[in-house]
Amino acid sequence: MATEIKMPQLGLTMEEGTVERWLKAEGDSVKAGEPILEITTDKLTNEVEAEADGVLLKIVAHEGEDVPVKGLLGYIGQPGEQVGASAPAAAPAAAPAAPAAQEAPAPAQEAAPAAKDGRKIRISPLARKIAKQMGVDYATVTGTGPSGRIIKRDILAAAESAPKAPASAPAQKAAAPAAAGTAFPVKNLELMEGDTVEKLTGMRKVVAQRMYTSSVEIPPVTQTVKVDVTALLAFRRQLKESGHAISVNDLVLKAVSKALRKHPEMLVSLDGEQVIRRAHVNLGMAVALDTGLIVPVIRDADLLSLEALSAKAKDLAERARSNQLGADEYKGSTFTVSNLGMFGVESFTPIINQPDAAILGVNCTEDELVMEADGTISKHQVMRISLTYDHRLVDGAVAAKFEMTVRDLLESPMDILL
Amino acid sequence: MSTLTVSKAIREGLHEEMVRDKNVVVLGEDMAVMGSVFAITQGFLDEFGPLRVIDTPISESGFTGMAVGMAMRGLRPVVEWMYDDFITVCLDPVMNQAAKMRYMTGGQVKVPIVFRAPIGAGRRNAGQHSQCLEALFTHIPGLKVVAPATAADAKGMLKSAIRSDDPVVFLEHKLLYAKKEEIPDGEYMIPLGKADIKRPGKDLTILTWSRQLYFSLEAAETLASQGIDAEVVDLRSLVPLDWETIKASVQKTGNVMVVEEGARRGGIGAEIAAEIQEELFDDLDAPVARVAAANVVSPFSPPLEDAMFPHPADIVAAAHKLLAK
Repeated sequence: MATEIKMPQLGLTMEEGTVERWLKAEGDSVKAGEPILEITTDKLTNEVEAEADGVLLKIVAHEGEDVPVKGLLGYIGQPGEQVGASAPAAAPAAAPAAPAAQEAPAPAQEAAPAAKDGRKIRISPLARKIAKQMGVDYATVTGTGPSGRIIKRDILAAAESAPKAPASAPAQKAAAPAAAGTAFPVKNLELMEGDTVEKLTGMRKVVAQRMYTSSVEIPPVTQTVKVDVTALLAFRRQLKESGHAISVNDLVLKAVSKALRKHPEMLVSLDGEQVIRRAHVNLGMAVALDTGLIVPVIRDADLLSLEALSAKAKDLAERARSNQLGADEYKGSTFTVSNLGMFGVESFTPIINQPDAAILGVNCTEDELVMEADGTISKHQVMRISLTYDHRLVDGAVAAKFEMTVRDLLESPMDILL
Repeated sequence: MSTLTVSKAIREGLHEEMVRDKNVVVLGEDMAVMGSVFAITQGFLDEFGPLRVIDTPISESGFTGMAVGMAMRGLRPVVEWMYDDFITVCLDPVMNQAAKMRYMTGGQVKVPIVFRAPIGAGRRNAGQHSQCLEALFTHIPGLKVVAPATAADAKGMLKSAIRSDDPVVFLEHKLLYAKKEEIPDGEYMIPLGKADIKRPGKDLTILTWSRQLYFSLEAAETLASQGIDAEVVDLRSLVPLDWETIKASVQKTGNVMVVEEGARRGGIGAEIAAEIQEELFDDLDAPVARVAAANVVSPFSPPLEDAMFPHPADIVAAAHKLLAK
């Protein structure tokens, strides 16, 4: 009996995964515990290991396909073994054919194509692809093409009639993925020379959907405040000289955690008609990856010492880049910080990481000439911070006061530690 | 915009190139004194003289071989075969010399030559003067093969063909020469290897070229009146083939047919259909259809000749079958 390879559930919230790459081909021998394919979820890439010794008999889900948790990916078994629903169905179907032949060959032959399981379904490649995309079970669809072939229009008709027939279970199932999968309109864009096309999958898809939803749902305002970081940078040098590798970003995270404690009105989430006041300062920290963007969360950041916060931030960023974050480590933020300062960005308008109500963008440090109280000119280092907030929940003055607190802390770095 | 016949547009393109580059010469039967049987080079002899506009004996193998030698020595000859059918007597200089020389000399020798040849049936010219031999030419690596249909494309592509450093077979349909069309004013070029969507549509892709473009457009209008929205892609260039345009169109419509005037067996349609099913199988809602000439010798009898090669009604019928309507 062949062993089914199924889509594993990685983390509580995982609903489906994408087959990224098969490491084995059909017919390859595999050992239990050996990685046989890679899958990606919304945030992670993981290897799936063989659960049994044998050969990879059949690949059911091919590269790029989205498969729900516990969905079938393939089979491991012994060489030549039959797999899938067709194996048990084939045996009884074939057996009665021979004895029946003498008495009533005609009905036996007619019965075969009518039988639901054994019936060979004629369907065009395009129709099969569309059926899968729209979640239509094409086994129940009647084809109108040549020789009863199911073609595109049959699938479209089935998908259209599906929501109108709530009694039918497969029809209901069909409607849901169709609704979920239509976030981005198909525009049939014209391709120009050298263009390539790839599927929106994995992390890119999640980032696209989350940014889009946030941008559409939230009335955002971005306010930028200038911070004199001359003292902060001097403080950081001092720390470095005494052997503490603390980054400007660590100091910003610490200052923001402290400021959030003082301004709990920034720590809110909107859920329908309800406003959730968050108890914890869980700082999301945007980390850029080659494949997209991930926001690991530093839990109860306000309770950590500067050193512990710095270590935690470093650990999360490193593990995010090497794709080793646990599923629960990028969930549950209540406020997010996004730092583009190292890229020389002077000011930007970050998009809120829902369900947070605000996000702080951190910009680059620049030299500026400042006129002192005595009229002399001196060189200072300044950095701008750009706060985007959800104006449904937070008003301009509230946001400005929060930003002032962050600014004051950064301008008097000793206060960050108090 | 000015209005010109296709033959005048070809003449204009050729004339511009001869004025621009003194290395461009024309040769073939009746090219000089008569100005070509399709009036392409009328007046050229007076303007450019007998060294650049050359009347040749009725000896395709002689003057084609001579032209290949001229190209290898730095000239840019434009050869006219009175009918593409005559390739059979001069295939060696085309297939074994012009097409292969650049590769076999490691790029030391280039063969910048254009072979112009009228093609096509419908003039009751019978078996030896009515063929569409695109498939024969495209099978030879080293040759570019183009077949523009409109006056504008013919002029712009001829200029590109003349400036190409590789041999180009430039196929002109006899029954399009007299067609009057608008062409852009001033000098312009149309690159080889770029298809042109002459009619956008969403239900069905018709890939075609040369005279069948007009039949396809006519069929598309009939189909439109029946609620079928056909996209007509004028391939214009068969080698190089504009795969990206084909791919985008097939992915849009899911149904595709190739319409050609050449014989069905081993035709361009067979090649494109094979390529599409290999590369775009999952985008197809039906097998790729071919509308082509019957596998017979072009008959002299008018009713038989008309039955031999595709007409708009054949394209409409094939579309109905393809879309199961």
